[in-house]
Amino acid sequence: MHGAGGNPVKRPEQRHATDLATVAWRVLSSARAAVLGLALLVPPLLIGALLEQAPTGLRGDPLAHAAWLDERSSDLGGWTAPLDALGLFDVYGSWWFRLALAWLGFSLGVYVLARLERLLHRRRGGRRLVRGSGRRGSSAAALHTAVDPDDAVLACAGELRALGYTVRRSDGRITAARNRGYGVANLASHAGAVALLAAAAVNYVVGWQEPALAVAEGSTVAIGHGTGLAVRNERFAATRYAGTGLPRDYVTSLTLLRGGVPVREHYRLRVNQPLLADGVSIHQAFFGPAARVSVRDAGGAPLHTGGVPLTASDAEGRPAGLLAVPGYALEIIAPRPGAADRNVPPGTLRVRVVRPASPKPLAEVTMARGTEATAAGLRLRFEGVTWYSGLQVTYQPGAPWAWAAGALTLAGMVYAFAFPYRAARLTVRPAAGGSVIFVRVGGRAMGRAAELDRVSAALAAALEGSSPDAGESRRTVRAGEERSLAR
Amino acid sequence: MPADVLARIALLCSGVAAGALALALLLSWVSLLPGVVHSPAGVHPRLARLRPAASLTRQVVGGTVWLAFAALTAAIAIQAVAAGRPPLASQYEFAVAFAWGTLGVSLFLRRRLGGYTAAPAVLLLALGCLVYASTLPSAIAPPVPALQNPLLLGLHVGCAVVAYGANAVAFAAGALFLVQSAVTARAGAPSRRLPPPRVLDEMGYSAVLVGFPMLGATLLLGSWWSAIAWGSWWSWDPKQSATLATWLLYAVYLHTRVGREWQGRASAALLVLGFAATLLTFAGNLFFGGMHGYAGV
Repeated sequence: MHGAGGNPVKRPEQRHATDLATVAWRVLSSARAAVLGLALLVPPLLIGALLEQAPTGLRGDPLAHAAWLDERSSDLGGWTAPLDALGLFDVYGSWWFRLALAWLGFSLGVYVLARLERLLHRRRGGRRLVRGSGRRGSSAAALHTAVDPDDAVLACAGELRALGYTVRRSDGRITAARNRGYGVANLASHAGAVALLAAAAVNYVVGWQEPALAVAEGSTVAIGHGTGLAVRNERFAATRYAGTGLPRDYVTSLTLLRGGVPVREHYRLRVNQPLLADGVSIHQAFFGPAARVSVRDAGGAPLHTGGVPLTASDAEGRPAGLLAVPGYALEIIAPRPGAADRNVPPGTLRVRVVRPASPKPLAEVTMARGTEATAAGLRLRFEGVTWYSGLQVTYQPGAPWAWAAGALTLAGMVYAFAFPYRAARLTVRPAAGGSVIFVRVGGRAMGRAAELDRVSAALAAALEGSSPDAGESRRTVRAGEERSLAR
Repeated sequence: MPADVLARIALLCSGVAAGALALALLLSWVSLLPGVVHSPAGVHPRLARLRPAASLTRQVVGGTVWLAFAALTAAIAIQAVAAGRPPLASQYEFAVAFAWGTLGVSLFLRRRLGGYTAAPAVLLLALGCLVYASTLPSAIAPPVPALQNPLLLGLHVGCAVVAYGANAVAFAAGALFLVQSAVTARAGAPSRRLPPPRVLDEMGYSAVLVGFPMLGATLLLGSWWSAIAWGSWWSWDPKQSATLATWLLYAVYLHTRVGREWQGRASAALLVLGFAATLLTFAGNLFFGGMHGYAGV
């Protein structure tokens, strides 16, 4: 006996479109639409990776954006303007990237609905063991054996089970299926992708991020965003590797307050050890120097005591920070480290007092450490230098869902690609000197012919082993009776 | 034993691996010369008299590849002991691990594919990784605070190593498939000195079946780590974006191959494109900037 592999039967158009909605549904629910969605995202992602993207904070600030473009033009020259006009410096905020994402999400959603509908329809109509092994979309072969039909059915059923198929027999027919979880895995993978995009959308709409919350040692800063939370920097320490000077560790001893009441005290906040509370996560992000300054009004009432983070720099590149007190804004300027500067010598601090929303300074003084000065009626004292801890605070309610959905997508895809659905239908008929077995293998197109070869070979071997006369029959078959059904 | 001595031993092991790979590469290319058939199925009947030479060549190539893999495994293990963390924190360490992943996936698939390999191309890629590594500083750098998470460093970058290795093997299979296509177009039949096109097609698919989930796991674990260390589960960091683009390319490959039954040249071309994206993602540390910048050290 011998198996003859056949070519896959081409799947013809199954239904004719009846109206526009049907056509649209068919197009959108097709795997082709989802694949197009995947492919459309690749070029913008690569552009976004290769071309430095403008910080998101520049959106809606034409002046800052223009300044940023000026910096880029030193590298990109005359390409800067056309690239900007095409929106390639803000790929992820561009309408076309969002459109591509929306297309992917929409086509995936429609695909999932279509598959879900098909799955439910199948369940309502009674679950069939085998689908996809009809004449359409299957590969076929014929086996000839000296074994009589009843024994051949038994031997084939046993062998199919050994190959991992679930088998059902009836009147000389065998229907079998393997990897029946494929449909669910396929649905799960695409549903996971939809859920991932939905979780990302939730993060985008509901989530928020406070990217640079600078808290000087001994200071308390409210997190805001309606959380009622505040953080106090009890102490900050940074260590560096000897020799290279690279940062080794940043640690902030942090106290978290809710409504002014400590709920977590002296938490050791590190880069890889965020503090989680009320769905909010607080991260150690950066650090820098802070100036300890006290400010009193003309009557001696304290307006501020503590550190002012020097997170910015003035026009001359000196570390600078801003302190707001009632009615005034104070620009605190420190000397540049290691630089000789007559205006702000080492060991001093320069304070420029302005009215809020007015760039013209009211007064400007330079103080040595431990000294006091008066400017615009305010009594200032430079206590010394300390550290500030730069925190990043985020609220991302969709993130765990995104990870779970991503894992589901991945698991579903691995199952679907590694274990494609296979269906087999065997018809056993009496023939001169034994039986003829028509084998048809269906399911996913990829590897179907190879699966037919595998099944045919295994069945042939099983049938040979089940009859002492099988060897003689096989030779007869090879002489001229072998044929393929797939024509 | 002092860390610097261990690091030197690890470097020596990498050197042994490079030497073994160079020898295997030479022999595998010699086996491509007319008269020497590189196929586990045996030699062409007309060249049967050369069977002993071809068989011996294959055995020597196989042995030296195993030697290279063992030497790289030792190099990575010793480097891990010396550094006190998974040795995946610098471009040098990743390049060595990339070579290891390429060889490992190739050897793994060889067993599944009846002894067939895309040896000439795979060995060239693995050796290329080691040559590139030799141009980088190999001194063990202490990790910056963001990298001080040994578990996620090992899992996230370890998955990337396997994924990149699998993508390299898929590329090798795709490239050899295209070579076979060109040979078939010119001579009317594929070369018998390379694996048959059907096997190369299957090899590419099998490699992607390893690399695709691993790259997906790299993205997921990276997102998790990013949420811990950077405070953002997804920040459109250039390396993140390039990895996602690479993963999507392989998703397109799998969907078109399985769903649309694309096989042959179109699939092979996608494998080449996917590996180009993989290389861009790998080398991107050097010019991307962004938050993965410290990995380019």
